[in-house]
Amino acid sequence: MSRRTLLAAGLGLGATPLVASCTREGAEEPPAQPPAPDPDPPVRERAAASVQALIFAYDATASRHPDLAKELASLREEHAAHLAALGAPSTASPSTPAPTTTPAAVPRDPRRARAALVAAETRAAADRVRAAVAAASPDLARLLAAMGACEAAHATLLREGA
Amino acid sequence: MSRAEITALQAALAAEHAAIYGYGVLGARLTGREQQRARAAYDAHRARRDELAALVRDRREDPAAAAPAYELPFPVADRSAARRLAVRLEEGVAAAYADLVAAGAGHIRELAALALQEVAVRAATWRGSSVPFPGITER
Repeated sequence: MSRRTLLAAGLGLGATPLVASCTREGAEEPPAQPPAPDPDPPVRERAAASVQALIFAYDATASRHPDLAKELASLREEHAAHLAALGAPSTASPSTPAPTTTPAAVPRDPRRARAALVAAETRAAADRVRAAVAAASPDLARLLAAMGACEAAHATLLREGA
Repeated sequence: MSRAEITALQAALAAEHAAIYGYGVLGARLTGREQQRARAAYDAHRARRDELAALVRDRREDPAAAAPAYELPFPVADRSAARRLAVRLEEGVAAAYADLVAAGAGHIRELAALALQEVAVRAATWRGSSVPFPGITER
């Protein structure tokens, strides 16, 4: 919903006007409507957490399958660029959450490990479309859409590299 | 639909027209699987063109028309040039869809974001590699 729609919904049917008449002594002023909350900070945070998880998955996969490391490196760096573009702290920051994928969790079979990354990229790309639609800022929407497009391309490249 | 949305829709439509023309030229320089891929891309661009034109007509405006011909950025004499042109065409369409994401809202924005993904996938396949922000040239 756009910010404008949220405000309109908040006013409701038959609502008292925002600005009451000032002519009557003791006239009660209705409470001012609060501005609709900015949806972008949580959208941005969710996207950053999602990208962080992808980076951890790439690192774990490269660690478990060194043969794949070279192919995965450039894709992994693009996710790092996404994180920076979102204004999120780098992975070196102490506030970084625990890795969501450890090398032990990566499938032993390299084809299945590759397929797991394809699935993760595909899910992320779908999430970015929803996030772009939810975003209020046009630039954030555009950034999220570009990230999703990159993730969709990653899925294809990983599949083709199999 | 806002004026900005319609303007961005028309720009995406214009980009699709150019891509359709370009693929028509480059397809002849490819063979086998690559030529099939070019044909599939050509069909996908035509489908998007029709979709965008319908959206513009829904708003009682005239869809941007295709030019009779387009100036190619470089001669397309061989397979390598054909692939390079395919990448360039997809990148041009990507920029237009990224703009439509920014200008649009709701289902228009969703359509643009999904179209951007399809375009980026094709570009990556032609290029053999990825770029970090498809559709955004200044990053």
